[in-house]
Amino acid sequence: MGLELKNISRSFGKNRFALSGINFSMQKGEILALLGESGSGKSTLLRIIAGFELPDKGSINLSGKTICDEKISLHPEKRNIGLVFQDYALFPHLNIEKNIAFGQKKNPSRTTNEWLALVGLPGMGKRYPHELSGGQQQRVAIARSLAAEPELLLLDEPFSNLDDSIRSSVRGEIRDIIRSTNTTAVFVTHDTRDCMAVADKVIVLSNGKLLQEGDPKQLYIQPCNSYVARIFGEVNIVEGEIARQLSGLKKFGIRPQHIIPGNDFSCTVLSCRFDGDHYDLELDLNGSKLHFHSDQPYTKDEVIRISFPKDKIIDLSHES
Amino acid sequence: MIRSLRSSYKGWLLAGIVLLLLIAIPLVILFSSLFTTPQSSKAILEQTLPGEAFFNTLALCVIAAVVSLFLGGGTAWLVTQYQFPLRKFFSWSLALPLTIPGYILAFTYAGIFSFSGPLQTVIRNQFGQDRAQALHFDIMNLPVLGLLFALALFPYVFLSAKAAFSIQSARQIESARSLGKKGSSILMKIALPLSRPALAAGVFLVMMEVINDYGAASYFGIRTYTTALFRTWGYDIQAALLLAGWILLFVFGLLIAERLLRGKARYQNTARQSYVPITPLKGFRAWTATFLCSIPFVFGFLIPFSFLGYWAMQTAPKIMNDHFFVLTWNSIQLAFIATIVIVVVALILAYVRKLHQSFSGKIIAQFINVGYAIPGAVIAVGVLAFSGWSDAMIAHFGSAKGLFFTGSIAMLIFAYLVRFLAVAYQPLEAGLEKNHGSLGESSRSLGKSPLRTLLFVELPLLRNTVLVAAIMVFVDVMKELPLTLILRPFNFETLATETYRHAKIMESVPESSSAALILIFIGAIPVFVLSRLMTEKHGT
Repeated sequence: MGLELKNISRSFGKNRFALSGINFSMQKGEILALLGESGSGKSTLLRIIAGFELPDKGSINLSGKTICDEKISLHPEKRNIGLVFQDYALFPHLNIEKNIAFGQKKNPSRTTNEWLALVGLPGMGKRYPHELSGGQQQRVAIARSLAAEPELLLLDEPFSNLDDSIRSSVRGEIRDIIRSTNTTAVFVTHDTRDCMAVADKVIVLSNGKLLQEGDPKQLYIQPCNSYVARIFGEVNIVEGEIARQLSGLKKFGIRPQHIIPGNDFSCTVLSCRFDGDHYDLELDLNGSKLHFHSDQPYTKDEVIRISFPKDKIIDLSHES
Repeated sequence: MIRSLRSSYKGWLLAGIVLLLLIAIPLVILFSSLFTTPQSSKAILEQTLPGEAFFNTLALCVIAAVVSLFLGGGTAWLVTQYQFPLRKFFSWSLALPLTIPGYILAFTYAGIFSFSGPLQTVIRNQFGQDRAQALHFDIMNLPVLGLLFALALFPYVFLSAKAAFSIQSARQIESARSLGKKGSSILMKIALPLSRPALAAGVFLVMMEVINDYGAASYFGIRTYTTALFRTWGYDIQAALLLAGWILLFVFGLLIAERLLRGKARYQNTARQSYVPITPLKGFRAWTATFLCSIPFVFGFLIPFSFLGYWAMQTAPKIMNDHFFVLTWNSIQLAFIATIVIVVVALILAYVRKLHQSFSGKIIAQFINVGYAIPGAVIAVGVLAFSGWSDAMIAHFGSAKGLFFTGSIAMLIFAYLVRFLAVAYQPLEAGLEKNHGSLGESSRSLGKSPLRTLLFVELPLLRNTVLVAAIMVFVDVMKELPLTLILRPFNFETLATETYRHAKIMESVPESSSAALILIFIGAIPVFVLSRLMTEKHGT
């Protein structure tokens, strides 16, 4: 058993909930993403798991041991949970080697040099944090946390401080490092691309509530509501009479890239804009506006025919 | 509440609470004396407390405050805004008068102007006895004492005003300039209103030091609250406690006034550190600025320092004996032990505050900072009552009888702790706050206890701050006169009490000069260390 949260709630004053009734569990070795916008409660949840904040209600189990409930709460240093901060928080007065050795237990499974090699920084042990680039500092921070051999590794917005150019490669590297040590990990992000690239499982939080959990693909294809649908990418939401005509549903969503040229519905082109990999068309379908990603350009007022593949329609009829 | 308790580090919290309670005891005793003093003691107080004490104290405060506001604020404005000959020199040397304790400055000027002093001697030798008598004017009066306090203490205003003018309001001053305003109207309309909190803080420190003073006022024969407290204490401890309680109220009144004056205005440093480009002055105006800045420097430092040096050379052979070395060693040892105790306690309290952000930490900090505003003599009387009570308890419950605490070094150090805790606490709290929260949390999530986190992460990063705090406490303890006079063990002299003894009791200011000079040199250490650290910071 890995990590299990039961009914975790935390309020800021009356009726203002930072988190309400969060439940989830994860297996050992899994990587889980907490996805949400700022203010969704995801960072608070991470700090509650780490032990720096306390829930009002609920309990947390780690490897079958209760680390926090309404009566007891282990101090952060007793939980055996590593936390990698957004600013990395390397100790500026210690060199890289000593930073990594800081939390190491007696008879560690890997030496500091092995850790440096694992995170791709061999021979850098004598340098000081300020002599490293941001990406290198981050890998040291992760190595430092992993070297303490935690049962759970937490990462706060691990990819947000990085330049776009290196971001995607860093995602792969970090996932591989965590995998290679078979560590259970939870990371916080507001970027769905991080979830897709790194996470086995994603939990979507909004206003302190858990909206949906599942693997990234599942959330993308079958989001539980329009909020989740939107954070995973552009989506056309159609509702009302027109929705029923088009799909037989009261409300549904369809992503622009999933609409295909076809014979089912005819519509008018309102605008056409080149967007790099495709043309972004705005269409008028019986008074309802739709976005459609097309390989070829169209001119304004041109009439085209399209189809909605059945399996790509997101059923949102429970929302209307 | 339950949440906080569940997460708290109970050991640390307990240590913090115990220390705070211990420090609060003398103050609690003083406050309770306001209500519990017996009638007989009140009658004694009516005799020992002169009617003019309140007026004198207030008048000294006001003169010192107003004059140091002009001296400190004016020179700070010149130094931060204009370029003129010796500007760089004045921008640090105007802090030097702070190295001469008020009582030493007063002794020195009294010595210079006395009948046997150098001034009269020169006039007598040149123009004869009659001329000298005619030209002798008595400086031992209240307005002069107020002026001397201002000369000794204006650097408090200078330093805080300088910081405020050069950093805080830099952006606003620049925009006023770009809107076409001239120097004087910028000063009146922008810089002064924006710097009001800083100026108020500086002036407040000046007034606290004036109230704290015993040596200068008693030498000048001016009856203030503090000199009255010494007299009363000689008669009746209960009456002294009551008077100390009143002084405490008086100080709190000033404290509240300062807070009100500062108002809600907590003008924060919105811009990043930036410096106002300075306007060059030319010709007559430039030399006028140099002249104006030189006045407080010459009278507040150069003249007294030179005379002390001259006297020290004359009297050193007579003074430098075993007794002098013993008391120098006493002073250093005492200040050293007190510094360690105070810095450690301050560090513990600041760290408890950091660990328990939610735990009314603000109130704790406020409470500690109030300590520095309370005059040393008042604290001494409170501690005296506490030690007397403790001895009575030991005598009552234990088999031993005698004075364990009263007149002991331990009680003296405890009193220094109450008085100077804020001096160490403020920089340490700010330093811990500046250490990014994630560093400490990182260490704890790596399995280190708060103690180890403090020792291996927070403290190494605080090295300079600890050093600064320690130096400031050390110097303050060395200089402290009234508290030491009241609480020192019998026949135990320090440099401060020795200066006082020679000047006041043996009526020889020149013989006090050697001890005074050592105090001044020690007092100069922080001025240099701090400005050194400042430049280092700007260098990187």
